Amino acid sequence: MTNPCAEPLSLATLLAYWLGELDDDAGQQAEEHFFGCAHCSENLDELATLAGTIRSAFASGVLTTVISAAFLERMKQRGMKLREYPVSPGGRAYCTITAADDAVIARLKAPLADVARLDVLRLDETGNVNARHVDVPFDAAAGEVLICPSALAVRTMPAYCETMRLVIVDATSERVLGDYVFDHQPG
Amino acid sequence: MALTAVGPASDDASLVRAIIAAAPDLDRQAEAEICRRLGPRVRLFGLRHLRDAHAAADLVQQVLLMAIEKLRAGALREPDKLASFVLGMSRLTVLDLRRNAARRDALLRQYGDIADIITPAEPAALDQEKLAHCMEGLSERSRSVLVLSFFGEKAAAEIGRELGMSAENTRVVRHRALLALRDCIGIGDGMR
Repeated sequence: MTNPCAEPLSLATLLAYWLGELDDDAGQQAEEHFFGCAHCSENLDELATLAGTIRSAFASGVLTTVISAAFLERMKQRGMKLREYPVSPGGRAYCTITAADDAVIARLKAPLADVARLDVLRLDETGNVNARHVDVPFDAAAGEVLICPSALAVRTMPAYCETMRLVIVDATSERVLGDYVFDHQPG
Repeated sequence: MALTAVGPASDDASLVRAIIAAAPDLDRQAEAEICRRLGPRVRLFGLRHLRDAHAAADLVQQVLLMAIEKLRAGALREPDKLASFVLGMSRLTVLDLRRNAARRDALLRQYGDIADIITPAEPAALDQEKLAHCMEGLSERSRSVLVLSFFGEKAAAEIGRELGMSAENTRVVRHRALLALRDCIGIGDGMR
């Protein structure tokens, strides 16, 4: 345990520093502070460790995450081996994952202009809702929702048919935007 | 003969003075303490600017080799400025690392006697399973913002654009998500 710092760098500052959001002067000030301060360098180290663990957890397929089209490109640039399944509303994809794949991506095509909130329901073969992803992020201009399910979980799945349902939610009602069927076979 | 009256409780200036006073002998204890103390900070600086763990480890090795070399030679005139001295060296070395990989090898050959104490151990990663469990407890937006932010080390403005959110909203979501994640994992009580 180190001595506390009289004026510690806040989490917001450390985050902004780590992600390159500070201007040059502010970034240099943050560096001068943490270089001379055991307490703040430990906090920065903790943040860096957390960031690194999130990164490695995603890369190793532990997490299920909604991603962006630009992020998908970054995954490819990093050499990740991906299987992409673009599906239109009412469509079906025959999908799998092998040991050589790092991730699979469900690309749910949909008209998203003027949509404020979008939920994703995951239904089993009998139509029961297994999960609901509330208020997923999306880029309306891209016209699709990209879901990267946990590769570790998908690899253990038997032959299985899952429906993903996009639902537009507003203050008073819900409206189904489309169903997307994923017919999974083990790799 | 080495003077070994310094240790973890010593301030930076005392460590520097011990090294200077020991010359031409070596104060291994003071040198090791400086490396233990500043090595992780140089590594963080390297990770931030080079975005590569191996390159950051190279930076640590090179900066600490040069720092010890200069401290042994009495080149630091204000011992209480050790941290600034090493930071300045780190900044120059990051620029230099991209241009010249040869000097590191030369330094390693010349100062191989301290090479074993200058490379800090990699920090232990957090439990992925626990992290995954805690990430599952976050909202979809929070999880996406954290993954997109840290997988590619991208700023809020860029992540916001990709996810149809404002930069400010992205920062707020990111900040709250990190606090929730740290609480769930059980780390970082003192930092808000």
